[in-house]
Amino acid sequence: MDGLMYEILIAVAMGVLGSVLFSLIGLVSGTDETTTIAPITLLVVLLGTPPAGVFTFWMAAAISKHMTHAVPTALLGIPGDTLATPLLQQATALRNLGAPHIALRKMLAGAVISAFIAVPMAVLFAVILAPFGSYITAAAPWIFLVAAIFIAFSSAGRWASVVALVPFIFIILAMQAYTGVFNTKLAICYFLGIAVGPLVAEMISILSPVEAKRMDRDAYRETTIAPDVKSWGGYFPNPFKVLDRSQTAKVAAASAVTSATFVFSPVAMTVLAGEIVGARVKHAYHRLTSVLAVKNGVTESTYIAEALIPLIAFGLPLSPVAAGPAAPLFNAPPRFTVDAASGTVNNLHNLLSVPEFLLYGLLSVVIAAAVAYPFAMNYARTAAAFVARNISHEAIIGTFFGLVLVIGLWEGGIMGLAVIMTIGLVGGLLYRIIGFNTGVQFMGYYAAVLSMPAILKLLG
Amino acid sequence: MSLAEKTPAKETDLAEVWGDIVSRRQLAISLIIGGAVSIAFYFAALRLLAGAGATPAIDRALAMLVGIVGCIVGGFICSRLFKPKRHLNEDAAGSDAWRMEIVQQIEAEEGEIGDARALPPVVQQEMKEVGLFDLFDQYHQNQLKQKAH
Repeated sequence: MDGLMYEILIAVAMGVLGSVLFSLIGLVSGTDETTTIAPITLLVVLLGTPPAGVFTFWMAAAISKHMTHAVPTALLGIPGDTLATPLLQQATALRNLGAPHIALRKMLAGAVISAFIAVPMAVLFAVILAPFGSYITAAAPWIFLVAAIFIAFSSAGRWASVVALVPFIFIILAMQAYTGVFNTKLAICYFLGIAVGPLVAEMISILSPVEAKRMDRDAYRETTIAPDVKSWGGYFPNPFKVLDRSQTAKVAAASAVTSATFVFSPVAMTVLAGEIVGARVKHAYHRLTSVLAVKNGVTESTYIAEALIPLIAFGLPLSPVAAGPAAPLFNAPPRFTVDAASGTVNNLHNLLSVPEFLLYGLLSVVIAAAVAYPFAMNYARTAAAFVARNISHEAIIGTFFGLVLVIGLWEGGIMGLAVIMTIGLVGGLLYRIIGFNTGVQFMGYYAAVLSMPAILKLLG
Repeated sequence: MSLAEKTPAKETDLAEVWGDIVSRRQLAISLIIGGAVSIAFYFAALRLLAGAGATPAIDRALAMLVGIVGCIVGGFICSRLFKPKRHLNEDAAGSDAWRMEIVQQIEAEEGEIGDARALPPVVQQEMKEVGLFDLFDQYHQNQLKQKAH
């Protein structure tokens, strides 16, 4: 019993840490989920945090970030992260009408209700799929190849991304062979290179006169911040009162459905859910608020389900979220590994049971609802203004640059930095120019490591 | 927002990077500070903590953790040195004509405005509290009148 109590205490502590940290990161506009959540989770894994602590940290971090990302999106008109982008249009419309606080509250209420529904739904779907898990693990090399092609095709790049997979896989194979000459076997540096690729590409593009035209600006960014209106007593506004009954029903339905569609891109599901719901609401004001609640709810449910279902059912990162921001939960060598040759996985899939996933999953939602939700409801304006006035973008980039250097040097010394730079530049440019996004790149990495040996074996 | 508040930027080397605006020179300095401080923390810890943990792997993990503290310190220094490239304006509610234009834009982007009076009472109440009921209702009534003519 002492052991369980200890596990739960660690999980609560790590959940609160993840929630506080990513509630703050969520406030900073433009902080992409993969770039921020993946490296920091990796760190948590490698430092030896117990499994329940790792899982609760990731869940609480992701859920909290998708709550506070609503703050810059609603109040400053700048998307908080990648998943906030589809919410910008409706949020801006309400902001222009002088009601950004309404946009914010609808988004937050949608998020908290959706997160509570998504955890049990995702566990349920995972349990339904689990009997097929052993077949899927045995066929992992081929499934990754198919999944890589499927995720590439569903990315913005469509066929271009599918074609780009081939050279991308060979670049990874070539670099592995080269670092192998020095007896250096790297894995984390590839993940990190992919995760921070967009930033690496921007850092190098800014040195190029060719790119100057695209990037040059002649004035500061203009943002307006709306006045605060608080319409509830106490600290914790009831989400069921923030949403009306039809909105609650729509959020619940969208959350349940998108908890099952775990192989699709979260951005695509968010847009789709918004369109389906929007088409059913007759009045424009009601449509704006309903769509915002539903869309932000879907940013939570897709993240939760896309991490939970592959973790519970397969132990293989077979979804865009599992391959991206949640990658360190599956693969963080030497601690967590996916070995296709022997068909074995050693990660949270083996270390936590189904009831534990459910328990710690719900615990993460409770923590995020207790930390991020009331924080964003009560201090949105103060927090948004503080970030906009005091935290320069230069400082944020400087911090991430330091983080990448330390982790790169730690895993692979100079070779590690070379890998991060190469993968980052190639991946980042491919993402921006042809829509070969980070999720596809992660799948490309798995295809290189897991599918290529099987293909070569088949070819003799 | 008044024009007088829009003081021209002093920096002439502004660029949009990774979703926000930076000064190129200040970004370069931030990268040097962020990189140097984190690496210094990491290597110092690697030296000082050698033998502190049970195995060399734990020593290195601890050194990495110190390196992470270093990057936060580096970021903090940069945030004190360089101010954000943003003008934050306090929003005053726009005029009625401006808000009518917004409703028109919403109609173009989001589709039909619809009849606010047909909404459930809870939603009507919410719109009244936010102060948007009359605006949307007015717009809809104007449209009906135009159609009648």
